[in-house]
Amino acid sequence: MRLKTANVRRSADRVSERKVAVLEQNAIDAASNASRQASEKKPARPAATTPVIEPLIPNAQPTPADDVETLYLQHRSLLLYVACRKFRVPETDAENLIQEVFLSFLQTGTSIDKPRAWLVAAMCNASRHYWRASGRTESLPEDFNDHTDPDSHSLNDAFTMRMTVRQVLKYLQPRCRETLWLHYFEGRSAGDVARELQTTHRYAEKLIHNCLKRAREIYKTITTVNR
Amino acid sequence: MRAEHHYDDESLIALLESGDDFSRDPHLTSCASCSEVATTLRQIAGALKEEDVWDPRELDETPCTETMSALRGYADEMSREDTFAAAHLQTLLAGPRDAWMSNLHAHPEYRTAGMVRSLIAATDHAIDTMPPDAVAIISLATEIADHLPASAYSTDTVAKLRGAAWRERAFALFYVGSYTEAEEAICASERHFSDCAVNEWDLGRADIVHALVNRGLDRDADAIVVARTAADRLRDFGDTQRYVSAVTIQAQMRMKAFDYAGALNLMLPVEQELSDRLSADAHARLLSNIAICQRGVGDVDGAIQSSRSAIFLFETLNVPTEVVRARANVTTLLREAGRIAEAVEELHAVRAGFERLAMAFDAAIVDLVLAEIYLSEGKYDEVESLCHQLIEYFKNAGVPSGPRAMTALAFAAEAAQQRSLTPELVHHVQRYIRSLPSQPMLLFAPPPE
Repeated sequence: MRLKTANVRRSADRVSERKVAVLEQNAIDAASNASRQASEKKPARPAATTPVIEPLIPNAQPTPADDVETLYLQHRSLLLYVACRKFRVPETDAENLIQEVFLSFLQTGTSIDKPRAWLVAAMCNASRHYWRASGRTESLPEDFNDHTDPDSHSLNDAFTMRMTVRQVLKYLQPRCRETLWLHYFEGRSAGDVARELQTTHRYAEKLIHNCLKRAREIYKTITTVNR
Repeated sequence: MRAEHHYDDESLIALLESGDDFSRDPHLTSCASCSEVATTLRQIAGALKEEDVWDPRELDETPCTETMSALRGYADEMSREDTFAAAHLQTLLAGPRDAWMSNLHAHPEYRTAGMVRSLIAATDHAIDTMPPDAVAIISLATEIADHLPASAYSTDTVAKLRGAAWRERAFALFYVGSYTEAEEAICASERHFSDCAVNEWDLGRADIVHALVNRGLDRDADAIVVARTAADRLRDFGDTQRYVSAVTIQAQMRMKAFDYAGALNLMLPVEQELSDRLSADAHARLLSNIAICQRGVGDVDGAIQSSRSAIFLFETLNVPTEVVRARANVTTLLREAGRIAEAVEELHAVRAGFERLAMAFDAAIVDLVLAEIYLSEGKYDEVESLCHQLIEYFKNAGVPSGPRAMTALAFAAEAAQQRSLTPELVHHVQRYIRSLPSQPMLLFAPPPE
């Protein structure tokens, strides 16, 4: 049974309605673009009228160190989310695990088709190892040992979706958040939601539909901006 | 023309709430835009069930400068070591392979992680050209890795290098048929990886080698179990090519047990889901295996289609031997499907292909298949003419066992002339010619009366 504490609900209710100017995913993309631009920047060359000896330095090609730094900037947020939110690794230890994951990535010795998928799977692997090494098994999510997500077949897509939906919730009205929390997180029926919100069954159903519809609209806006 | 009616959000949410399977809805299966909205709604609803989505605590988004600095330092050190190793690899591998270990003992400065990486890369190349060299090269890598001081490198570097070197050693030993030694090597690899914090991808790769070794040792059940574990691990890491290799090993084990339906159940979903992400080579081989299984379950038309897709991919890869062999398989399938005219047309093309590739015996077999078809149609003259053409071909081909093949063909030509040639006789001659490359001294004898 998934852990569903009243504390979580209270915390969710306290989420402010403030507009978030720069979203988490935007920040990842912005960082990656900035880094990519930096690594692709070529040294300026004056127009030559006489033969110019090619400079030995600087080298325009990104080095492995540049590449790994770019990857780190692109994916750190997602990896931190995986470690801290899915595996409840303390934030202070999560950064060490991220470093371990990137060191492993550097040692693969082969080209990796999908670096993000690889890094997310490695982060799950490192987080599981972290808890095993510290001998702790209680209070961990019940899907602690899960591998491939049965719906999406892709762990990294699932985590990216969860990070984005987390942002979506910040834009929703408190009543909408509460409705979605009751229905989807707590698994309450429309009738239960109606009783909790002191309204009719029909209106609760309408509310659930409208709130999910609104969530999709916000999701679409966020992801369209990102693309 | 009928106007297309799309679902609105309301209807899609109602469908989601009803718990119906989207994949069974006729409109959603054919309408990309509605399907995309439905998938997004389902994914959002799924995410809303997760506790972390509702956690209000913010994570520190600031990249850690210490981590970046450590990663840069590690990458730079790796580059330095790799450059040094690349410059000295030729010296280490100078002379006959028996001298390589002495070369290493004479140069203790070569004992670096970078040299282990370079040797692993060199093994990969040598496997395709000179497998015993590959075994000798990877032995140097394990020798260096086993004696590297773990304290000189960060965290799991040495354990991972040892694991990788022993895994490659296991594969090289498997490749040359030393299965027992290969098993010892792969167990050593797994032991090294088991202590690492991030190890599942490496263990997945080791599982593939372990499955191959188990297959070589005829431990079919173990091979299936290990290949399944490999597939799970590699799929998590998005390693499509290796994931497909793991699935293919499982399928081949089922094919070995004549469980073609089981093998198809493994391979068809992979082909449908991942075909656009596979390399042309891996995709072509997967399709060829699928074709064998489709034939095994009696789906000859499906087998023809899969084979033709594989042929197309082999053509794009410019691998003429595989193209002609795959086309030869198609001719067998066409005959089984009763599409004789198509089979004959294809056989002529296949014969020309084998002739271009100077594959004399394969060309002869194709002609004998044609002879069999002509015989079934009572065309004795065509059969006789084919046999004479083949005799001429072997006269000019200059293959060592050509005269023996000519004796068998002359026998078939004479029987055709006398109208006493039967399909059994043609098969007999076919079987004899097929066996000549491996038994060149075998004499032809007519079948017993």
